[in-house]
Amino acid sequence: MKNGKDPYEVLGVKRGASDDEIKKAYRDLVKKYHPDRYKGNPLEDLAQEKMQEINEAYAELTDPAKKNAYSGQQNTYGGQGSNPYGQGQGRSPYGSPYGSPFGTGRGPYQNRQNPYQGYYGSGDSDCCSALSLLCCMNSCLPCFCGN
Amino acid sequence: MFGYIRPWKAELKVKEFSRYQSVYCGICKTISQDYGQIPRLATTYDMTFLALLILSLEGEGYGFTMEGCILHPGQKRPTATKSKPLEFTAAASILLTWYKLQDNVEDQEKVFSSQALKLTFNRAKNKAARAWPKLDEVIRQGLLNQRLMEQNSKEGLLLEEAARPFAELLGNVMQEAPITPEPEPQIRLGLSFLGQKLGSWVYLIDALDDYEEDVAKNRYNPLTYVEGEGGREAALAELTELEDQIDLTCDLLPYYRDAAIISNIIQQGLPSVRDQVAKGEKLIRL
Repeated sequence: MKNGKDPYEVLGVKRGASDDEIKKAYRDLVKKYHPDRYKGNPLEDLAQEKMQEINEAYAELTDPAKKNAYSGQQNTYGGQGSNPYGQGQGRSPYGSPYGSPFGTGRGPYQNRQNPYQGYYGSGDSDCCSALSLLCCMNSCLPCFCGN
Repeated sequence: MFGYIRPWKAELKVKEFSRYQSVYCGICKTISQDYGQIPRLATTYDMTFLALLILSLEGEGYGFTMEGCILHPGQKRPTATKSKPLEFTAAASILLTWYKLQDNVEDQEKVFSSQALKLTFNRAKNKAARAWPKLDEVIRQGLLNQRLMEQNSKEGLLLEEAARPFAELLGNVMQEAPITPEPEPQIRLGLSFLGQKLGSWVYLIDALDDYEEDVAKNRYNPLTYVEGEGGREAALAELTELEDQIDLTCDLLPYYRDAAIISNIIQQGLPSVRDQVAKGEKLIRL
């Protein structure tokens, strides 16, 4: 995306979400941030910006080529790639464009290395660490490296 | 004292509730340090939300220490360290309580207890007014306007109109809230708007809560002036609409922290309080 945000996070869906899930999240958010609901609200401009961001994220995730590119960046928890503190089903705990609900305003994984990165791999071809391999064997997680 | 703007505790994480509690205790301790022991009675959940909101928008985070408390002997509680936002909310709590007590005395309601409590708050009120003169003026004027509105209410009153003075009061309080660094003008306006909507919500939920008692004792209640018999229904509809507006506004504020707690209070706390009040259930201490 232009602003460097992850479209999955913007729409509040997990990586690997189906097209239907993405569409539903998109529709919910469009309903929520519809300009009519912000009439008379001083934050109307911010809602418009948010709408643009949502439209942009949806456009990216409905473009198969771009969607695949993003899916290749999965890097956290069990192939879903989403921050465990993330936005769930499109309804964030005020996941505003400015900050995260935690601590210093920077999400736990925003400005530092994700502690699980090394275990679950980054999508690189040599990502299969002992733990992800174990998970693959237990069939509880897909293996990102394709091995 | 309790309040209506409160979290839905069952849905809060333990660490989130600790942070919430630390702000509540922080206000209480700030009042005790700045104004004495009895004014601590002015601490409310409503003001805790206000403090939490201001702190969540501050550039610098806040810390907390484990402190003992007269009310909970033998048990140390997380207490947010004293800061400008806590001093502000402590002063707002004192001033709102004092003017409310004065209002009670003028309305001949609970005259003896209100007068006695008001006297014990006098020193604290004067000190808070000296430290925060604009805040004092905003609250004094707001409650005066509310009194005038109540005196001039007629059949066919719109609830939005009835709640306006208190809405403006809280909107102006938000305008005065110390936030470092100063947020962009648009955000400040958003906060003021949020304050207005919250002010309306608090005024109407209080009116709904007191409805039966006010009718029985022939006291003023804006719901009785609504056209027809639908005062309660009109209030519930207005409250739901306000919750939506509050949620939409809170959603776009630039939080540095504690957004999950604020979201809990707005998205779950307010509707659950509305439900409980509508059913006539007593709100309990958290």
